[in-house]
Amino acid sequence: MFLNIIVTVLRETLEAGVLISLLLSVGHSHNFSAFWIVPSITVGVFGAFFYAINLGYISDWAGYVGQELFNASLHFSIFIVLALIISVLEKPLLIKTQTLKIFLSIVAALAFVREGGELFVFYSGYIQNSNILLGAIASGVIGLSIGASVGALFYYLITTMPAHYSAKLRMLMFYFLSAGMALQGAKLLIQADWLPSYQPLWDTNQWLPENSFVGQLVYAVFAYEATPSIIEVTFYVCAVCIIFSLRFRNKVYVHSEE
Amino acid sequence: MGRLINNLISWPLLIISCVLSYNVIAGDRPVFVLKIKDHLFYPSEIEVPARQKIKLLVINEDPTAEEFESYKLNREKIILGNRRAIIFIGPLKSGSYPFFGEFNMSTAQGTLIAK
Repeated sequence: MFLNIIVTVLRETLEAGVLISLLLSVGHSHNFSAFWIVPSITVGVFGAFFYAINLGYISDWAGYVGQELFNASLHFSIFIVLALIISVLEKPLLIKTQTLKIFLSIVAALAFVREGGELFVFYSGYIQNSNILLGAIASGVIGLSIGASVGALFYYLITTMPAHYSAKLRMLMFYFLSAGMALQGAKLLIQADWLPSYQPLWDTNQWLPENSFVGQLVYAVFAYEATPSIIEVTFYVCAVCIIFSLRFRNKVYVHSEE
Repeated sequence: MGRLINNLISWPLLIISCVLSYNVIAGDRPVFVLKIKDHLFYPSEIEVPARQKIKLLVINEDPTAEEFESYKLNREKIILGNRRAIIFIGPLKSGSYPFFGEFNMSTAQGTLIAK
């Protein structure tokens, strides 16, 4: 049972861990303190708690699909703010540190609400059972530590490589993570029957099972889906195109400023 | 920045309009009931029609929450204790699709069979 708890907590923290490490690496590359993460975590944890205690009401919205709609809006919001971050990062001469900090804080807080909310609900089941509560918390700490370690590994990988390569890798990861948010939002709208669903375009479970550790890691970075539908793939591609067009537009803008 | 924010608002608005239009034209779906009791699914095997979208009504009779999850169905949803939830599934090809309760993986296991 405790192994299952480790796996559950790890799955929730892995995605947030990779995203937070990427956001922290942006601050590192622009030489500002990582203190911005403290109020962001505080707001995120309170938001997650508020989400968890109101999940019953949220779930009953719109014919019992409120949970999907709420989570999809979180994913699309993260996508929009990540696109704004990419846009700001593309203007190195015009970067306003305060604006960047605000965007980074919003993304981190929303990610905490999304992943932390599920963990609060998960642990609510153990609160009444004092016999296993301690073991469940210890298992959670192990899962959390593994997720945080993977995030730390990403952070040190990005921040210790030469600046030219780290900027490219960071931008690439921003692309994948933001497009992944759009894909996950689309997946939730399909589940809520707000978007049409079709049979999967392909099935790569034989090569890389989604439930394996590597599958979960690739899911955290690239939003890997072994059986995506055409709608999910369309959202992913459109998200990449939108960000790419913003990037191109900004490059033109920066050149004209020069 | 103003044009950028306009772009980032107009795209989601376009998507929301398409979504709402689809929601209006989508018809009723056949309903199948799945219960959760003592961290087990009842029935543990549930037969549904292939090539048709269905509505799975999940009723959690346990006092604690459960998360319905299936990698093959591409579905994930929390159902709080003593509450119910709707999950839309399919259209599916004929075959079997395992699902599980993420919060109680060792006991809550089931299979959806599309025929």
